[in-house]
Amino acid sequence: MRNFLLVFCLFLALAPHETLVAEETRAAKERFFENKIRPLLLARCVKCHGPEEEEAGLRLDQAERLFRGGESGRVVVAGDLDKSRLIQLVRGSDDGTMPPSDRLPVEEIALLERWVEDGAIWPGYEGTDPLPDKKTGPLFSDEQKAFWAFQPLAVQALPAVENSHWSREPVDRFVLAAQEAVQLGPAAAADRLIWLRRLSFDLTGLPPTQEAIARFSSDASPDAASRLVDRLLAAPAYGERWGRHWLDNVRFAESAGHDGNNGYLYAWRYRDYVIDSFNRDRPYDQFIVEQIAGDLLPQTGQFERDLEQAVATGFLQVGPKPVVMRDKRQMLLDIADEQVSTLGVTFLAMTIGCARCHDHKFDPIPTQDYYSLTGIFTSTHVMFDDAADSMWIEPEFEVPGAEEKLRVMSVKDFAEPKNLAVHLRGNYRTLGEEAPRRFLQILAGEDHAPIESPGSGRLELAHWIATEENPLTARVLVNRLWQNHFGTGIVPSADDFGVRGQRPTHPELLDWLSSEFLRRGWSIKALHRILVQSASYAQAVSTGDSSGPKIDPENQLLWHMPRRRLAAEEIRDAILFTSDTLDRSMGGTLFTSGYNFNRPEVGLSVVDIGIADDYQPFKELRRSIYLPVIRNQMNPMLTLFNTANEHIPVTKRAEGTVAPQALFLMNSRFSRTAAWQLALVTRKKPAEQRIREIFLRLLSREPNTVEFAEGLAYINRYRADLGITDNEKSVAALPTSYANMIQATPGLLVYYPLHDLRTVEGVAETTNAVQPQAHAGRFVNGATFDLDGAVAHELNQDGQDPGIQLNGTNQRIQIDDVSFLDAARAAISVEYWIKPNAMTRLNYAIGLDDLAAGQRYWKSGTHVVDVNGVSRLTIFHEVFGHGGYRFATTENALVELDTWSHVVFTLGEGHRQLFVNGELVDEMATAAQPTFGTSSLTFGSRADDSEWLAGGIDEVAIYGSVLDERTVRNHFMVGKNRSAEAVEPDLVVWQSYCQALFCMNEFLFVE
Amino acid sequence: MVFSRRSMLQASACGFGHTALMAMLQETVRAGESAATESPLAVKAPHFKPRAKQVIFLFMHGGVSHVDTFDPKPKLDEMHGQPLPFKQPLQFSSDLRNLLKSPWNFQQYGKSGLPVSDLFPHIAQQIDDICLVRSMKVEQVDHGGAILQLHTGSAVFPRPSLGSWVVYGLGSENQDLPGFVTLLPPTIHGADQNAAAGFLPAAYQGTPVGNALVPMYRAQIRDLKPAQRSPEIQRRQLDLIQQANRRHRDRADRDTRLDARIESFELAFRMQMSAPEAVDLSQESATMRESYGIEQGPADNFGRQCLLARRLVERGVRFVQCSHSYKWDQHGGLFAGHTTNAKEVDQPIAALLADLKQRGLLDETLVVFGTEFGRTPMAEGKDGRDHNPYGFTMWLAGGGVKGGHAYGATDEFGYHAVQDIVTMYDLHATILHLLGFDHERLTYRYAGRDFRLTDVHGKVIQDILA
Repeated sequence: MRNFLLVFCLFLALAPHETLVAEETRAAKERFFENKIRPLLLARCVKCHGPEEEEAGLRLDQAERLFRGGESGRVVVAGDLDKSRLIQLVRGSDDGTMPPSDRLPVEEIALLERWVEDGAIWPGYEGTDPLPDKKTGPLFSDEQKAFWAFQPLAVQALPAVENSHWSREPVDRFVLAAQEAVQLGPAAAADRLIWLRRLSFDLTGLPPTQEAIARFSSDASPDAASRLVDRLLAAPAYGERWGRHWLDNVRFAESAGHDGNNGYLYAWRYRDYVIDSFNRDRPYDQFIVEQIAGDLLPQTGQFERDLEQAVATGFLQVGPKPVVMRDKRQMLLDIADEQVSTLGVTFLAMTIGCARCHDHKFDPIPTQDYYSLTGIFTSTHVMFDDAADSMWIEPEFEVPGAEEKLRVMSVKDFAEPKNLAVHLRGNYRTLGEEAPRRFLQILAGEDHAPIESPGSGRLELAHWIATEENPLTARVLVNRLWQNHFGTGIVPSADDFGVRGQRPTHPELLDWLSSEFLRRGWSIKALHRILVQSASYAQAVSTGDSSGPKIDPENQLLWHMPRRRLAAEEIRDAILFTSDTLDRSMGGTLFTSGYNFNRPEVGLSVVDIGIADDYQPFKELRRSIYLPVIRNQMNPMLTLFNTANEHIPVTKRAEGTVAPQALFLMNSRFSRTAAWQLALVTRKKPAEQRIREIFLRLLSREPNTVEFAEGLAYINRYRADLGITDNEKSVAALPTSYANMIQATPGLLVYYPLHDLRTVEGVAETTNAVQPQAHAGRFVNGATFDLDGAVAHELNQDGQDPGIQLNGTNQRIQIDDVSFLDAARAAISVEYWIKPNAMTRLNYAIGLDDLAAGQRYWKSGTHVVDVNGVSRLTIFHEVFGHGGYRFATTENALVELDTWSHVVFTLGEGHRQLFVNGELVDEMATAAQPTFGTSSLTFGSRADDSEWLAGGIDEVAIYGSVLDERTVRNHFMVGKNRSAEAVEPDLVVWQSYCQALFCMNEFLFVE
Repeated sequence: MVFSRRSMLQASACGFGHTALMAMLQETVRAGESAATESPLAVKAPHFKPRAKQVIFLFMHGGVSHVDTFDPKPKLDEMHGQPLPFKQPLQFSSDLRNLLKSPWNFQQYGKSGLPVSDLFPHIAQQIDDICLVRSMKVEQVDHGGAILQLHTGSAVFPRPSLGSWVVYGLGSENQDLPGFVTLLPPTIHGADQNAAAGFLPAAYQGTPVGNALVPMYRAQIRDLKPAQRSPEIQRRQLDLIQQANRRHRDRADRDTRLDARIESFELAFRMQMSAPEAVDLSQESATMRESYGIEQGPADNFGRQCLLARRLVERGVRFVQCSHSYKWDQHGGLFAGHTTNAKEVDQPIAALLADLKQRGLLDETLVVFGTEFGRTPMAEGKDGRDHNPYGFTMWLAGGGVKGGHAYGATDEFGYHAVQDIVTMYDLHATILHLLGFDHERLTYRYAGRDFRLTDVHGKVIQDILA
């Protein structure tokens, strides 16, 4: 406008003839431009400053862009060569030279200079001033303001429907009315047990127990369903299921991702807060405020409440952070950007992050609004807590009545919050006008006042989101709840309520539910009750001969329930749950190993869990929500079944079907072990009852006659393969466990089934009578249990089969009183299992020496050998003075890293022998007999710390005789992973059957 | 029947006997079990006639020093020990000292006469099939960002991997094996993210064989080893599963997800059969194994990867990555470190090129030798070099690129790429071009936006196309 006025004024000032002259001159200048300047710009500049690339935000192919300039401002000022950056750059200056590769010839520079001096005329463009920003007048158009999502919630009357019997809840009237409008009707109600299974998984992420099935089947009272709903909503498992949905929404993880992947050691408290919030039905408005600004809420003086408020702001911390970025200012901006983007999607379903570099292309979010919000978060500390000497803000809390302090992950306001200026094209080096900290103007109004309070503004922001006046907040949450029960949201794009998102299929229903949600005090559990007790939710998946597929193939009108594939966590939890192996303890962290607090070479705390498949916390039997979530090193099983992407807020899981999922269900150790357990816990029942029980546990229903027949045929054919004719007899004839077998072996002197050991003040105790108390071992230097023991299926009371894990330096178990060896003066056999985890040249597993007397007797462990140019591991055995150090390099003598191997070495009866994994691999003739002193037997390192084991050792047994080859092989076979079938072959048959059921679609889907 | 562990081990060591399984598989097919849904790996046509059908990506993790391998800089000899005569850009290390000449000599090889240092005597023999790109330039100074950019185009956001894009675009020639296989992938610096399908369907995810922490001879595809004690029993178990699944499917209205899952179990079963055969290097002659350096000392591990890569592409796998991780980051001990590393990869890579050529596969297989960045011309500490993303070398061979050709150049110190600069986007655009794609049109709609590997960038490097 200003430009136009200027031209207009000039016009008035000129006399008529002067006008004519001016026009002639201008025509000449335009010709000059067309003939000389435009071709020059095209040839020399436009490749980088044109339609293909806009280096430095500059284009030289259009007048308005040339005169507007680039990121560093105007490039041409008419008549002023010194102020025209274009001229400075083609001439060459401290700032650089353009074009960067080839300097312009002097004559071309002269042409440009002449053009600028002559007024920089560009035909069709008036003057040389940049055009004013086109945005004048109101910020938003009427159309933008009228967009459905920004309208206040409308009061909705229940629609009239023809079918007056079907509805159970008001929501059904909306659903039915929409169906009736297109001559559609709802599907029949689902079978009661199918409904029970659906409800149980939806609310708790677990299938119903047999007891729940029996109780619900026999409960004919009219309120049976609502009492069941109440019971499930009250179960702690409810929070574990819905907490997981929320953790998806907030991109929860316990490390920063990116290069350093620094750990969030206290993020688990936020996870527990979320679970707890759902279980307590914390009102959603309060839940929002606490997550955004809990640390700014008034202190209550109650320890737990104050702690909780600080923990809640973990929401802002648990996202990915590019910590290693060299440009720290950029890093902090990126972190704030991540927070704003997440906040937008999580609470408002708005893609605010898209407005970082330019006004949002589709939604009414000006760049200035983006920087208004971002300013709130750049005024909030998330990193570098010098006080706590930590990467993140991790304040300490004094625990009443306890000495230890407790640390949480939280955030902290700047002492002096600051507004940001708009960053042109997202670049902080090119600043535009200031963006006062405030909210989105399309929602809060163009005239709303900037935040004036002394804080960052988070508290104001939180209250502005968590208010009934904000039309998005309730709608977004209600929609997600609907989506998680019915498969698709009323707004199908649950993460985008903007212009590019989808429109609600039932707008009145969305508003009715949102209003109801507010009316019930933001209670999420109240919403669940409304939804799951509706007739809509009770529909069957199957549609019969409905005309639905033709009229509404995508089921937008919800004329039947969709089939839902279980989420990754549900599959894992259900497999553990149905085999009675799920550890139901709640809360706390498993994220202790793999977290390197102090890696001096990088100066940071770094997460490196090594091989994810071997990472111990991933093998824990807790519910999946409690397993560590480590960016870029996710639990392979959960990733396989499409767990949430840990980098971005996820409102709906992807659902893929790939062959590796089938391989996992068919072959993985996890699946095999669970199937084994399921076979084990159902073993006391006759076959038919056993099949019935397995069906009830897994599929929540009785098998039909075909399924019985198929199952029995499978079982019996497999039994015939194994030669099992009478199962009960075959079981009785065999040793029931590895331990029993060892104890029944003639000549046994001492047996350390390390999974049985417990430490009492550093002394290993065992319940096993074969190891007399007098010969108890000492745990030296903190040896710990390796939960993955040598002999699979030999579980202790905790359902684990631990061996001993040693640190590869000085840890050991030491038995000082070795008087039991008196019985081994003529001959000795030493048996043990070893799992080496390093290619150490000499890995000491077990040995006997008398340090005081300076005597060594024998030892054994792993040794590195070169086999055809490749480093491999073998077993050595050494008897001092009688043949010394020996090992074999034949294939059957080699052992694998990270794998349990069985070793027996013997001395006496005229020879020394070494058996590895059941086979004799080394032998020498010697008349020597064992000798020994008064101490010490050690596992894991020598008593003087001079040699050591990196890895695990388990199931150590010592005999006063030479074991024969058959016995050794038998021990190996019974002890080795799958040879448990030698113990009870029938279990193998049932394991295979149970595993087949884990693979069934009926198990993996809820209907 | 008495069960023998040994017989079971024999039966399952390489999966099941090939013949027995093949027979059972055919039986299943005859029984009328049809592929109900189009496989996401079905072969698809690219935009135009491709020059390459498959890719082998050799990833040198840590940062190979270009001035010590493929980009000789006599100026460094001349000015050894003197300070860099211009201001250095942002670097990773704080202990950068004066210019350091290369401890290795360069010689010219082949008809092209391109110079290669003494580190790679074997690769040097293949130089006439290699196209050096000596003007690579990226922005990321640290490994994580640079490696993510190398693999996915983006240093910051989680995006699909190059291999995922390729299989998404082309499908796979072998329906019994994954389309994108990554051998011994890194467990750090983005780890799984480097082979992730991102927002593309999960079927395009890289399937790992082991990872960087295990030796290749015992690396495995996860859960591939059959749990059941014989192929007959596994087939019976699968039949029990599939009968139930088919009944379940037939009870319901058509739901392609149920069909897809039924099909996925059959594919898994076929993979159990095909993969062990594909990865079994003992099927290669002793001479062949020897040529790759297998069981010959330091080259064993990477030799196995390269030979396996050849076996996989031969069987129609679309994209194979071999990783030498994480070895090349010589902030100190440049001489010892790069010498050891080169000994591990030189012979295998040369053997791979020769082997592919001899089989007539090199024309249709694009081999890419890549690293996240190069190293500085100045010493870090006493005898190391720091990261240098501003100019470094990668090379391509086969699959429609000019052999014996060097493209682009760094400055006389090897610090900055100065001539014909190639960004990672350009390289990705060029790889897609060789596979028959216009990189601007290979898109995937996600979250309301059409995404592409090259984002809004990328120019095909025309000058290196044969």
